[in-house]
Amino acid sequence: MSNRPATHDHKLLAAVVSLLALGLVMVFSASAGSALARSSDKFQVIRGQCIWAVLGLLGMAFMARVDYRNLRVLSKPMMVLGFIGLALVFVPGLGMTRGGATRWIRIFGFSFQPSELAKLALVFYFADQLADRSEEDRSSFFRFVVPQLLVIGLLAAFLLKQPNMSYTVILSAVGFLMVGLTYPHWHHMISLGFIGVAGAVILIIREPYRLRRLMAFLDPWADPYGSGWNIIQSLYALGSGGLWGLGIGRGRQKFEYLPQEHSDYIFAIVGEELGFIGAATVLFLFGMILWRGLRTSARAPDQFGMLLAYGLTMGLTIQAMINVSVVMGAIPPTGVPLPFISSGGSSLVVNLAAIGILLSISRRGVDPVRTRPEAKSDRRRKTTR
Amino acid sequence: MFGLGRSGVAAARLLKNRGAEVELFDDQELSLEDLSARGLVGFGSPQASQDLTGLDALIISPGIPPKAKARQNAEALGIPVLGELELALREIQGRVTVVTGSHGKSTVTTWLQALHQANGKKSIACGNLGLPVSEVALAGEAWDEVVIEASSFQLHDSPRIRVDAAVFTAYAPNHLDWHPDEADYQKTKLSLLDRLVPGAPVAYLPGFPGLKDALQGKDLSLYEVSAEGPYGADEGAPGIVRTPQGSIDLKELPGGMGLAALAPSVALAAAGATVGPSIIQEASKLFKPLAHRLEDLGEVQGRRFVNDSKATTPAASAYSLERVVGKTVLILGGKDKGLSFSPFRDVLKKAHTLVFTGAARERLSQELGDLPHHVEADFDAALIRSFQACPEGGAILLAPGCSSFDCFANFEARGDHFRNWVNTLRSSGGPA
Repeated sequence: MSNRPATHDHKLLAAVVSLLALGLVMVFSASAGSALARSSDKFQVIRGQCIWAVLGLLGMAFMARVDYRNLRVLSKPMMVLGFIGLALVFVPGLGMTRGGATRWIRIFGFSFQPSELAKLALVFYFADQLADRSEEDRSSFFRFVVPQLLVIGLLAAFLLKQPNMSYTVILSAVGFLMVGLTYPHWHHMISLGFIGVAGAVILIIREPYRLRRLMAFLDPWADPYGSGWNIIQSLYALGSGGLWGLGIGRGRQKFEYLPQEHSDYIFAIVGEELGFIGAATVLFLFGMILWRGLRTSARAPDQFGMLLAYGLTMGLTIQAMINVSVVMGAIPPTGVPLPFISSGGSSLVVNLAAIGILLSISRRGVDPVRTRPEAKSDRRRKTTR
Repeated sequence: MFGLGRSGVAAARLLKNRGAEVELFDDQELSLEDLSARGLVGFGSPQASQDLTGLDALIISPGIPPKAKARQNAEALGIPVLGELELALREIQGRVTVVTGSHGKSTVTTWLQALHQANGKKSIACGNLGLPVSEVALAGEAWDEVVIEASSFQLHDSPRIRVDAAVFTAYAPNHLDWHPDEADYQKTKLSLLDRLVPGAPVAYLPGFPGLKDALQGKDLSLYEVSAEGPYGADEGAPGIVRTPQGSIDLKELPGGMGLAALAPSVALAAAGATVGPSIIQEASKLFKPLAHRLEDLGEVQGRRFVNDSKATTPAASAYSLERVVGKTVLILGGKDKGLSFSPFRDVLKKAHTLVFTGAARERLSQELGDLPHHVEADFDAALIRSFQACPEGGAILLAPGCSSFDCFANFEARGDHFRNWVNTLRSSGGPA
């Protein structure tokens, strides 16, 4: 007769706030040098980041109080907006290109990445489409899986044009996982998975720069001042850290050695300045988010909430995993920020909003209804009187 | 789906509508015509045996006893059991308030709904009140506010719910034929506190056993309704409800004295809903006093008739007797719930005469036999006897203090029977 009394998910909140705080410290430490060099204002980057952090936290608090079920009607409009946003980056005057990729929209001096919004929209849209379907519908590949594949395909087309293979991978993976959670024929999903990997391989081979990155990844020292530079400098950073790190502010790699030091490669700076302990703590905190997020998903009172929590959690986790793997040289470089820590407003605001939604779902969490395995059996309809 | 009363039927239809494969179970033998009459079309016949193997879940109607075989079978097989309330709450859209307690639940529920409506919110009252929550869920409308009257049965069977607000009305022991003991009854009612969202508002009357202690340390907004509290129903000034926005005298509203008697419940409902005097005034126009609750049926041959068939506990009978003016013949009896009338002897002896009927009449004779009384086994005979025993200018009060299930489908049926009898009296000019 029990149900744990609901409190706000303090553990999730604590993990996120810790990451955010750590992130702000690290962004300042990492950016001060280069900001000073570029604009004689060492606070330039951190100031912006703090503003985004405050906005993001307000957004999170707001989303936590909203009943997530009321958001369901927004799923389709959000998806449409997501596509529009992705299309707008190609409009001259609105779109912005950096480092060879056209990923940003610039309005009134603010730039943001519509791919972040698209990530959120995808999770909402899939949660809405996959939840509460009849058993018949759910087992049909054509009615249940194919429409979702088409959406992912369309998103991928937009994203690859930017080009943004990393987000394509993340969105595809999240979509794949969400469908896999609800679709009963797992052998189909495995086949799809293979096709997806094959597709990724083809995409890599076809683009020379991606191929170069792959080669560099396999042997960075073959071209240490060119394609191998990032990886080598990142490994140096991680390696110099030792157990406790060189101390906050005392890292050296950020001084023009490691590019993207306050965004994509910030985990390397964490390793350098806070050592193994610091890096492990960050990983631990992401593990907390994964745990609490999955728990929220399991305790959601309805399918929509369950899928929403699952998608949001996996999105964050996969993104974190990819970023950390790149920094450690375990996978080829790709431009994915570390959630809550890397600088970048759109990522921070969207991810904090996602946490807010997770909190909202966990407020209504109930003990899951469990059927014991031995109860599962085919039930024949008895002939009636 | 186990149990095919009104709630069970609604739940079965809800399940089917949401795509579940539904099998029907009931203790009674029901033919397809019976099912059809209840609104269950297209379900197939109820299962002959109670073999539950292979079911994914068992949905249970309110009131099925805890020791029922069906529950034990389900537990043995590892099949989860969900109450009808829990099922419905998973499918309903809107902010949910649950009202529980031993008395006044229906009144508070209806009041709260009227308050929300006066406040401009799309609201509905349902649950133990009469309209099953499953029916509301089935209709599929999105509500702003859903106010649910929940009995201890429904709370017992619905552990996995999460609601937005709770109201606790007055307490008295009840349903001891269902709960193993009074402690269990209390514990069940208090378990509602674990089924709220963080920060949820809880309005309550002091004096509910264990409630104050249970509220400690929980993340809830508390609204205590007492003469001293900010939401007060002053004992010294009956009918006056205080709210932070100002006081209002219920006697001055349409409905007057009748409403004044409801002051504590108004205050209770207002507390949770945070409204002020102007909204309460609006609500009093929307509030329809409930049938079978101190329902005045008018005069016939100089005698007043009051239908309080909803009084299904001794405490409720005593409460009603105190509110009826004049020499009163009180009709008591019905299905024995195991509750004692002795604690209310001081009030009950104020009646002019008592009439004992129904299955409980023997216990009543034992406990209250020293007071002036008549005993009639048959309900209709009891009605006639009460008329004969009632002096001119007096009143006949049906406040049986027991449930109606020995002779009637429910308390509404009992009240309707009483009302029809009174109407017959009126038109025929005297008892048959």
